[in-house]
Amino acid sequence: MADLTKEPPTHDAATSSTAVSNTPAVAIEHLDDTTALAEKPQSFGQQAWKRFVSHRLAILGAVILVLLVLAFYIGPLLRPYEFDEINVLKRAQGPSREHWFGTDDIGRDLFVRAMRGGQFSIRISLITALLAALLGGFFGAVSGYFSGITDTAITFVINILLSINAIAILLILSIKFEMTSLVIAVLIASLSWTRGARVVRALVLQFKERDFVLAAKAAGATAPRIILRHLMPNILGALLVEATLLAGTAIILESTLSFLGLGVLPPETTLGTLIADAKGSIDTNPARVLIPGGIVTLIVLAINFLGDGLRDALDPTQEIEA
Amino acid sequence: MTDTAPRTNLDKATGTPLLQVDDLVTHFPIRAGLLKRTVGWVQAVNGVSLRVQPNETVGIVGESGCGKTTLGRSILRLIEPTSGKVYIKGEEVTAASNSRLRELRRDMQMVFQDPYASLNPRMPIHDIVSEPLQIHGTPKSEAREKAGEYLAAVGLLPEHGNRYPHEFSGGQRQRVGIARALTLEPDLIVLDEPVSALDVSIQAQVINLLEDLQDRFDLTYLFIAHDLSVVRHISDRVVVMYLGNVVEIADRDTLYDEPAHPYTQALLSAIPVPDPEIEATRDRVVLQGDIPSPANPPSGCRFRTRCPIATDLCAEEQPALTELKPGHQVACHFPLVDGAVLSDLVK
Amino acid sequence: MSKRLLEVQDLTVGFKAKKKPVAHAVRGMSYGVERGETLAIVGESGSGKSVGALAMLGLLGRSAEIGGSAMFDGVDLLTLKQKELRTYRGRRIAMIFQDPMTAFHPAFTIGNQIAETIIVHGLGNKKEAMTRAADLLEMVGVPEPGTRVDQYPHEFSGGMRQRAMVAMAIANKPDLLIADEPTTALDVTIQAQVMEVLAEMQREVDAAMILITHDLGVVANVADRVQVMYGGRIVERSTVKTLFQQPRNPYTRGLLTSLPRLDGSREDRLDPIKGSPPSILAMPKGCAFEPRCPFATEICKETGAELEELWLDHESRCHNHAAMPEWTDVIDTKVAT
Repeated sequence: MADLTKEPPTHDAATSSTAVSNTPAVAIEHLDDTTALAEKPQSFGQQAWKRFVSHRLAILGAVILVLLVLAFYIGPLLRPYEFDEINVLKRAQGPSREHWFGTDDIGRDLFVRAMRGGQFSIRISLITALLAALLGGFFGAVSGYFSGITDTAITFVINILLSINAIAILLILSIKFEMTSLVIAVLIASLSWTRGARVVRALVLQFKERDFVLAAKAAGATAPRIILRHLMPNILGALLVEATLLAGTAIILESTLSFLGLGVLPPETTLGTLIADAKGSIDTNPARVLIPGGIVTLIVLAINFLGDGLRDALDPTQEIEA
Repeated sequence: MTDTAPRTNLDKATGTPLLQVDDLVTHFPIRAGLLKRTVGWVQAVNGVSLRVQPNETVGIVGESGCGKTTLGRSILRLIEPTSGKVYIKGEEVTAASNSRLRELRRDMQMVFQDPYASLNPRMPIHDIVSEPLQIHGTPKSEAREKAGEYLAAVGLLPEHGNRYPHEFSGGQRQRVGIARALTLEPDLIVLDEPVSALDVSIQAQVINLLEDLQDRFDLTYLFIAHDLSVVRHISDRVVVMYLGNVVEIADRDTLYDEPAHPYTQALLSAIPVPDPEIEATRDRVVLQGDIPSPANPPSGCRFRTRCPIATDLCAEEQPALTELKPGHQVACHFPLVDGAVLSDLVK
Repeated sequence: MSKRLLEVQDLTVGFKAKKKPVAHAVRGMSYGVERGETLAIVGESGSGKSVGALAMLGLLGRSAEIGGSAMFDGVDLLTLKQKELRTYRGRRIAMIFQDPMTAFHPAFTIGNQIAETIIVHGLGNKKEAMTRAADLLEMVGVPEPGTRVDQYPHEFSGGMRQRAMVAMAIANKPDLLIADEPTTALDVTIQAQVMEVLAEMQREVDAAMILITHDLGVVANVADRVQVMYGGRIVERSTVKTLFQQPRNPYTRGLLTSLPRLDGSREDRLDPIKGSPPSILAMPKGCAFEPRCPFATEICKETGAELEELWLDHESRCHNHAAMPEWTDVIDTKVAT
């Protein structure tokens, strides 16, 4: 067996292995084209950060999200009204200095309600995306890696779920459960993890045949290690994109639910409920629909930009655009 | 059917070969239809036996479909063989439990062909090289230090350990793969076309490196390649494969000077030599036809469809691997002995 | 006639990507090809050997900046628009690509694709073209050409696809064939078949051939003259015999000594060229090979040499070629160890 301590390695090309006599010209070659590696090495985190900040849309997305979240949570504190404060005398007013977004049919301040609705929507989208990504990642990886019966079974379930109309099921379930943000998130996640799972499964199938996975197996790696340390890091990018798409879809699904009257119970409000409530005033006060609708659009856009940036940031083969 | 190859390293007195392969068969099922029924088999490896002595380099050559890559992977159980036995240092690999197999993996490692696909693009190279140690329980910092030593041993600078594979050239990445194979200090390394994907001038560097490492670390090599010039340079013995079977085994000099199997002769004559005078004057045998598919091999001798001297017997009966002289075996009904040259017979 | 079929002068090719320095793939290449001869262009990856040929045929993208001239039978190809180039491609100059898998369109039959090149150049109607396609397949040795002509690329093996590509290339009896690594992707025994067919077909239509390859064995077998490329420039050019018997450029010698050879002495250690090829994004100021050259001197760092004619039909680009030992001495030393 080799004893490395016998020959302490040096970086001098001429004094390489003493066990073999060779002419200096063919001594073990060192890296000669150091041009590629000339810059100071940086940690993965530093590189990722650099990649992220060079992605202009991603920064824009992040900024928008941060501003929105701040607005949603701090906004209501700036106004003297509660979200459920009824004041029939002030009902159906347009935007004014008193009520920045106007009032609804029973006099509640729409600005505060919109902010509160925003809180709800953000919470839902994040929790849903996280849950769906975890579920999708797990089942997709297991299904793709182990093949055989496991794969057949999981794929079967996925296909069934995909063919179900999410709205219909959500409608039915919403009758049974109390709709807190967590519950809505769980319900939506349990129906929408399948897309991510399919993507992950396809990528796992592709990557598990790669030589570097075989090399890990040759070293004795167990299946969990291979999946977590070799497959997932390469799949994370795609999964992130799926997650951001999901976050957007979740908000829209929830808004639809609320619009149909089966979301949260009043006086609790979401952006979707606000749009629903504004149905009647489309002609007289279109702002009442456009404002919550616009906020939803903004959230989904920002999340998508952010997701793009994160995916590229985590990919070490992406070049840093100067 | 035993392989009685002579020991080529006279220092080792033990009788047990380092690697012993007995009648290894690896067939892949071809599935079709809704219920994925098996409709056929790709007969990738079709009964291969060999013995490798410590510190030897055994070259395995052949063209597409010959099964050499599958053979290498089956020996390491990266692909599960269909039948047959593999022994490393006397212990049976094919019967080992999963946990015992993990231990046995410390004795046998692999270097892969494609320097771009064999390294995880998301891992820095000191992690790539130290992973085998970490898998077997070495703490991370210690493993990384060891990895640094092996990186130096293959001619890379350890301080570049925190870089990613894409920052290195093909030849450098291949060295990383070699360093990785060394960290567990195995006895046997299976090299699957280790230089085929590299530029010519880099190939020579890596071949020299492999030879140095073999001496320095007491390694035994199973060198799988399609390039007969490279195999000739580095091997002690050579195994020629065609469509899943071994057609000839001999020590290096015998194989290149007195090839007995028609396929071996044709293979050797097909290689262009970088010397215009030799090229202009030598007799070449150019085989006609394509290599058959391993899913549908010819009956009898699998080479018969392209063999210029095949007869009816060849279609009926598959020739067994028989010994011509000690250390030289051929699977052919009409081996070319006593200086017989295929190109003469073809004219 | 004394004027050469193809005369390339000072060809340069650079690629410009956003926010990156220009990648100099070809840095001043001048050469000529006579009718009927086979010129081999040898180099490793990054040497610029393929790019030069693709540039002439207008097959590089818009990010390519091409300079110099490429006179083909009196017309400068580099000044032609795509529309005009199309009358040359497949008719007077035909190209054979490396990868038979991707060179054919998977959704059309082989016969269809061969016939297309005939029809497009107005050399036959559909019926005539299809018949000729079958004839061509027979000429290149594809068995059962009548049936095969209606098959799809995936039904052909790699070697057969390459033969079909040769058939397609000679369909319109071109004056010049450009074969870019035609056998690299094939098995050894198939390589031999395809090279045989290629040489035969070249003779059949009396075409000149530019054979781009990294395999010196193939060069020795097939070529009349050879030029070696490194770092985007030609570093040595001569007849094939001279190159192998009296190489006068350090890179060429390095290539020859680093090859394990079937006919070489067995106990030799290989003599590789140390280091790695330069990146085309960062070419050194002086000679591109200087960092790896055993004969380099101070001047080599400053400026690269010119391609100098050493004697008849043998040129080398090296400041110090006179300082190199006789090749025969080098070989003898190797054999003696």
